Amino acid sequence: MNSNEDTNLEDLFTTYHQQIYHFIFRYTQDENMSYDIVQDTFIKYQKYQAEFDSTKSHIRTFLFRIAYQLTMNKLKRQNKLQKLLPFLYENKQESSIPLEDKITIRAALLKLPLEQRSVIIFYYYHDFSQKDIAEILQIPLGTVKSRLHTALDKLKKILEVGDDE
Amino acid sequence: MMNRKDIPEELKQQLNQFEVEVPEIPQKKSFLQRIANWVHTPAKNPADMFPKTATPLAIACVPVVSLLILSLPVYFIQ
Repeated sequence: MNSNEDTNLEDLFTTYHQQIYHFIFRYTQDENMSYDIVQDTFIKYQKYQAEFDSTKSHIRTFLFRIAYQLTMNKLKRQNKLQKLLPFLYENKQESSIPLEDKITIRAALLKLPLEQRSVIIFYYYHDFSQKDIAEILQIPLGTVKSRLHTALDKLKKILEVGDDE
Repeated sequence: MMNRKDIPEELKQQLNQFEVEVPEIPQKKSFLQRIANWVHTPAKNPADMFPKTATPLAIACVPVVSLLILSLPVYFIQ
C-alpha cells in the first residue's frame, strides 16, 4: 500500500469510525463487538476498495454496507456459539441494560427483529435515505419502506407512544 | 413516501435518549487488545441457570451429583 492510500484510509477512518461505532453499538448493544467491527470494517475496505464505484455509490454507504455485513456475520457466529455454550453469554435482553432503562429506547430497540432494527437505526440516527438503506442492506426499496413502517409501529407500541401527527 | 416528520415527537424524544459514547479506537487492530476485551466481557451469572425456587443446599449438591455422574464410567473400568 502506498502513502496516498494510507492517508486516504486515515482520513476515512477519522471521518467515519465514530458513525460506524454508533450504528453497531445501537444495533448490537455490545461494546467489544462494536470496537472490533469498526477496525475490521476499515481492514475490509482496504481489501475491497477496488470494488467501490464513486459514480454509483457514496463512500459512506459503501463503508456502512461493509460494517453491516460484518456485524451480521459476527452475530450469526455468536448465535451458533451461544447455542452450544449458553453459560458464556449474558442475556442482553435483561441483564446488560441499566434498570432505569428497562422500558426505554435501548430495551425497545432490542425487542425489534434485527431486520427492522437496522432500518430504523439507519433512517433515524444516520439520516440515510430509504434508497441508501436498500443499497446497504441489499434489499428492495419496497421492503425498506414496509420494514420501517412496521418498526415504527412496534416501537410506538412498546414505548406506549401515541400518534401526534 | 414516509418522512421523518411522520415520526411522533414523543417517539423522537425517546429515540434521542439513546446516546452512544465512542471509546478511543485505534485504526490498526491489536490481537492483544482483542483478547483483553474478550476476557473482560461480562459472562452470564451461573446461578441464573438454576430455578429461582432452588435452595442453597440444592445448588451446593449440583457439583457433587455431577461429579458422581461423570465418574460413572470409572466404575466399569476393570
